[in-house]
Amino acid sequence: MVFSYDMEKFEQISEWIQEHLRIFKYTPEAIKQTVNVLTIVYYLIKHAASGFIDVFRSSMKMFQNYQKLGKRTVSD
Amino acid sequence: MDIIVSKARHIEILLTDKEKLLREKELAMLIKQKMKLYDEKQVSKLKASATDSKKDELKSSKKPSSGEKEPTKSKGGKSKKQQSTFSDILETYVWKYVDSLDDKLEDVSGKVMAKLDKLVDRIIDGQEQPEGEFELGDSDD
Repeated sequence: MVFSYDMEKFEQISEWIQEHLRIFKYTPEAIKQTVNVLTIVYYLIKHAASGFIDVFRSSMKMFQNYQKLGKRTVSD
Repeated sequence: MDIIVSKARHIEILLTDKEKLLREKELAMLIKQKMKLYDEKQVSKLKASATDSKKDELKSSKKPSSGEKEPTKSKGGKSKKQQSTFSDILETYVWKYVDSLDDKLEDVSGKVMAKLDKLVDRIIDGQEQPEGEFELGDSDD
């Protein structure tokens, strides 16, 4: 079986992740979802091929922005 | 909120520090290899038990009985149960445990592997996983 990396799919997954991380809302539901998406990213980075990780590198600024999140009160 | 910040920081570290990324990938690969080894062990066990039951069948072929195939079936069932227990444990404990370690992973990777070995041995021996054996937050040492 010939296996080849599909960059288009990598980009699609990366876009899906960016879409979910683009706007951060201070609601319990949104926070839970963000943690889940970040866990998926972490899992993919650990297990995916280097080509995939290169795609993630292009969205590094987003992860840097998440480190600047302030400790606002979570609204219900 | 802290968990989001720390996860984002760790992702950024992995994307910038190639050495750290390689170490984490290596550990993830080792865990996968162990899973594969466990699968192979299970397959060879199944093959051995199938050969044994075939031999038994041949020996007792002159005395046909309706319940002959039952032992093989139950062994296969036990093995399947072990396999699903192992997958559950991996999903529930190991990955979450490894994820919770974040950037401390390189210091404790030996310990993670030792714990994993213990878990695999326990399942192969047919013992159930005791509660709290692989709890999150067991990473202080």
